[in-house]
Amino acid sequence: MIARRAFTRAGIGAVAFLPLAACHKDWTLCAQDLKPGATVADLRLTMTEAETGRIVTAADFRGKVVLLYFGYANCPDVCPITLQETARILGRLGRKADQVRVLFVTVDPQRDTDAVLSHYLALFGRPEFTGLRGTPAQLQALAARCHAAYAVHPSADPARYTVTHTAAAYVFDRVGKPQFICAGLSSKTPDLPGITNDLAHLIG
Amino acid sequence: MGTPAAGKIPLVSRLRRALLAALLLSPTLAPAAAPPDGSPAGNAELGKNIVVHGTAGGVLPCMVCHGTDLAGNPAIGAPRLAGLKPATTLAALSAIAAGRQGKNYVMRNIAHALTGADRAAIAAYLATLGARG
Ligand code: HEC
Repeated sequence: MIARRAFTRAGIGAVAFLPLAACHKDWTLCAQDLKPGATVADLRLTMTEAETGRIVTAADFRGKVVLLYFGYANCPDVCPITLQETARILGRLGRKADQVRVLFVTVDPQRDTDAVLSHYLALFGRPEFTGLRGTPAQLQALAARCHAAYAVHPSADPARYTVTHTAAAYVFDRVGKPQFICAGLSSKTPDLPGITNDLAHLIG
Repeated sequence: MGTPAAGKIPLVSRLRRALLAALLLSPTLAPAAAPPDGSPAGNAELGKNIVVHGTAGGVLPCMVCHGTDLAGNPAIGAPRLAGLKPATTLAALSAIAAGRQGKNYVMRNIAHALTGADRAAIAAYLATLGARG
């Protein structure tokens, strides 16, 4: 702590001349949140918003901290758990939560129509949740920017219709720069205080 | 012996409580005791709330997997819940919690996390719904 304070004081003069773009101070991410390195590109997307049917782009979420997740409504485990834990984190953020948007991108747009997706997400009771549905090309483009993988193997038998996807959540700051990857949301013991703290730092 | 357990169940008329107490075999069986048809022991309003919204403790809304109409979702392997008899619901939840039924670990964790009062409430609510869509 002391070392850091000394550093801060010494740095004040220089900091004053830095452009305001670097608006959030450095902090230590909790162990479940990982630095994205070069694997995640800036937020850029074009998709349909399930709740409104509107075409949206990253510009629509500018100014908010964005948590982006790839999943599907017929997911038997990791997606609902991730959404539930995310909802609890938003609850912990209190009034700050309205500075966050949770974008749930379906990797199974065939079955997840706008209506299915919006009804599904509404169950979690958080106004910050938004469903996004893209054409195959739009979905592929966004997943590639995050280095996220997904595969759908359709079948007439619903029990054999299989979907796989990366289970991480990608967090972007208010200007769409990747800040960290949440790897622990669907783990046995998600670090809710730690992840909440990391988001709170981005919110500022 | 039935008194403490029956006391946990809210909004039960004195008559029903007496009936319930008579039905109880032991306090540990209290939450799973099957009420007579047509007079569910649990609070159906509370049950509906859990089914739609989950619990504050983090239990997922049941509709997430069993469908917003509770008619089941074969893609998830989640069976129909609407119209289940209270005894069926309670027995299934006990079996799932104990690991004797099912293979979905989330469902098992849910069955485990639900309190006796939660289960009774859910069972009461599901019984109020139509058995066939
Ligand atoms: C993550 C998905 C999921 C959620 C959420 C879920 N269930 Fe289930 N449920 C299942 C699955 C899958 C089964 C089939 C058994 C298995 O594989 O575990 C099941 C089976 C059941 C059964 C047995 C029905 C029967 O006829 O045998 C009951 C009762 C039940 N669930 C009640 C609930 C209740 C009540 C809730 C909400 C508190 C709930 N479930 C939430 C997935 C879910």
